[in-house]
Order: sequence, then C-alpha cells, then structure tokens
Amino acid sequence: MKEILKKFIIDNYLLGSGDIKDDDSFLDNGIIDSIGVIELTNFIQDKFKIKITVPEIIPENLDTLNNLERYITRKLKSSK
Amino acid sequence: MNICKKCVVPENFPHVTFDKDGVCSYCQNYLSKRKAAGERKLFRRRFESLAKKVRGGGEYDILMCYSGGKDSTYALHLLKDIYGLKILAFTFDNGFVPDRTYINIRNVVEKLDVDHIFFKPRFNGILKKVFRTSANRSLYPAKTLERASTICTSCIGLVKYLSLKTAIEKEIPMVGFGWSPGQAPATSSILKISPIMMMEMEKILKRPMENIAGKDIGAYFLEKRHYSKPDKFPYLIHPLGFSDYNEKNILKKIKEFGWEKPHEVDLNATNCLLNSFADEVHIAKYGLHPYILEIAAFVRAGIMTREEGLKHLPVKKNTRVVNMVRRKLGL
Repeated sequence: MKEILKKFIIDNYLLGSGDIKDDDSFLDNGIIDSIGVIELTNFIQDKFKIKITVPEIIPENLDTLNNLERYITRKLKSSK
Repeated sequence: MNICKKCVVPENFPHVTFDKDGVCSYCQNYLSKRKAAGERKLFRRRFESLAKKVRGGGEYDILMCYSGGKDSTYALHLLKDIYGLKILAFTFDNGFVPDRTYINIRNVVEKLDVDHIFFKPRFNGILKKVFRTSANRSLYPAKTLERASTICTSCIGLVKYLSLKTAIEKEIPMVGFGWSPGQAPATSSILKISPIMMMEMEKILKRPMENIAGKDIGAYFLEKRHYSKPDKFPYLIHPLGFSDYNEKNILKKIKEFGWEKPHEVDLNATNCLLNSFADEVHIAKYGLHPYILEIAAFVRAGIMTREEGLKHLPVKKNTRVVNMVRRKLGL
C-alpha cells in the first residue's frame, strides 16, 4: 500500500525523480497544498474504495506516508 | 536549454525528466484532453448540486475573491448569470492595483449588480514589509517556488485567509477564486477542508509573515474563534476549473461589462503592477519563470499553442512600472 501511495505522491507532486521518506511531512515540505490535499483524498477514495469524510482530512491521517498507511488500513478494517 | 517538445517546461525545472523524444514527465502523465473534459463535466454537476443546496440559505451564497483581473471577472459572471448565486465580491488591494482596474471593478460589479467590498491592509506597516522581505528571501517550502513567486505566495496567502475569515464571520457557505485551469485542475475545483488541516496550512504562511510584520499580521488570518466553528467552514470553489476556458471568449464576454485591460500590466497579469517585478526577482534567484507550470498546463489542455505559450515566458517588463514598484518598496 505504501508503495502505491509513494508512487502517487512522487508522480504527481515530485514528478518522478524526487524522493520522500516515510515520515516526511507533506505540508511542512510544501509538497501538497489545499488543492493537493483534495487530489490526494480523491485518489485514495478511488484506489482503496473508502469514503473520506471532511473531519478525517487532518494531518494525523494524511500528512505523511506512514500516517496515510495507518489511516487507510484502519478505514479498510472498519469497513469489513 | 532544452524545452519540452509538447509544452513549455524547461530541462532545469525541478524534478522534471524527459523521454527520448524530448517530452517532459508532466506531458507523459497528462490524462488526455477527452478525460480532462469528462472531469470538468463531473465537477460542474457536483457544483450545480452544491449551488442548489446552498442557494438562498443566508445573506450571501458565495464570497467571491475578485481581483478585477480577467479570470475572476469571468468567474464572477458565471456565478451570477449561469448559477444564479447571491454574491459578495471581495477585493484585496495590495497597493499595486492599476488605476484602470479600479474602473473595471466598479463597472463589472455595477453591471452584474453584485455587492462588493474592498479590503486594503495598511501599506507601510504590513504590506511593504512582507513584499520587501519576500523579494529578498525564500519564506516558504521549496515546492511552493515551482508554483508561484514568493511575493505572489505571500499576497495570495493573505487573500485566501482574509476571505475565509470574512466568509466564516458572515456565515457564507462558499468562497470562490478565479484560478485558471492551469492553476487549479477540475479535480480540485470544489474543496472542503477540515479546520485542523486548514490550521496547519495557515501556519506555513502565517509564521514567516509574523516574523516580518509582527503580531499585527494576526488580523489577516483566522483566530481560535473561527476554528471553533467547524460547521461554518465554507467550501472553496474554483469555477474556472470546471468551465470550458477560452481566453478569447472570456475577453469578449467581459468587455460587455466595461472591462478593459490596463495598459501597464504584463502578459501574465491583468490586474497587478507588482507581477513583473515578482517574476523578475524569481527568475534572477531560481532561473525559472514562476508561470511555467500554468502556461504548460494551458498548452497541454489546448487552451493556447506551444508557440503562444513560449511568448508568455520571457518577462516583458514595463521598466517604468518595475521602477515604481522598487521605489514604493524602498528597494
């Protein structure tokens, strides 16, 4: 899962040749802004077939690769 | 220097790669014009549904950030005439608004018959300090430099949070921006962001500005009382993201409202005298034009040809205007 997310971030925001560590903050590093956050949530919803609600769009869920992985795993478990 | 054979992205743009045919990674990742049109249609429907839900629910349906430039003028027209919304137009005066733009704003808001307010922060105490420092230093994360000059990021940041603050206080359910499709794609044309996420984004802009201009900068950003009203946080709307964008048609339409291009501005801005100076500073520091990504997206979407796009990228500055900016900023 993390590799899929990492590829999306690198392809869309770092254009293929940049790199990102698992705990790098997307916001602090200016990798994504408000527009990027929505693109990221659209991608996650389509790819993992989960519904992200507005209150869930918080840094604890979306701001790093590790946070994303934990959040999506939790959502997938709760949807079973 | 090599420039992408399909768009205008140069080889020195951060992280870009080229294939054997000289095509950049942005063009390789581009959906296709047909898919992009499908996305516009989808988000247009979503907006129609949202507009139907909020219409008539309060004093205003949308606060529109209205710079007086061609794009926000056209967006204002769409919101009023096509979607039938009750609008409060909001203009941020950064101290570099051309005289003709004031006339354009008056003509357009009167012709479209919308309420309008100006907000002009004090210049010497706030804006001069922020713009001067933005010209001399990088204030924000490096990635932001690919999208805009530091001066523009500072200015737009103030517009964004002031408009959000005003909308929350007036309980207006949507805030509109005139971003072109090159600045914001269809998929991000309707945004709803949680207050906690917004607070983190705000810090990135507010902290450097606070270091420059002091605690008074807080008046232009959200406060605890705003964040404590999550249900009042508006949708952020970019109407041009889900509209069919054609510059010639836009100029023809807004001419009907008495809009004329100010003669002192450059090719990439129709409402700001600071722009050429901001571009010049950015190019001198980073060797890149801050409009590359927007123009490249226009070329990819067929909004302009590659040749037209390339004409937009050298800074064709008006020396008199740039010198006026330098004097006003004390540089």
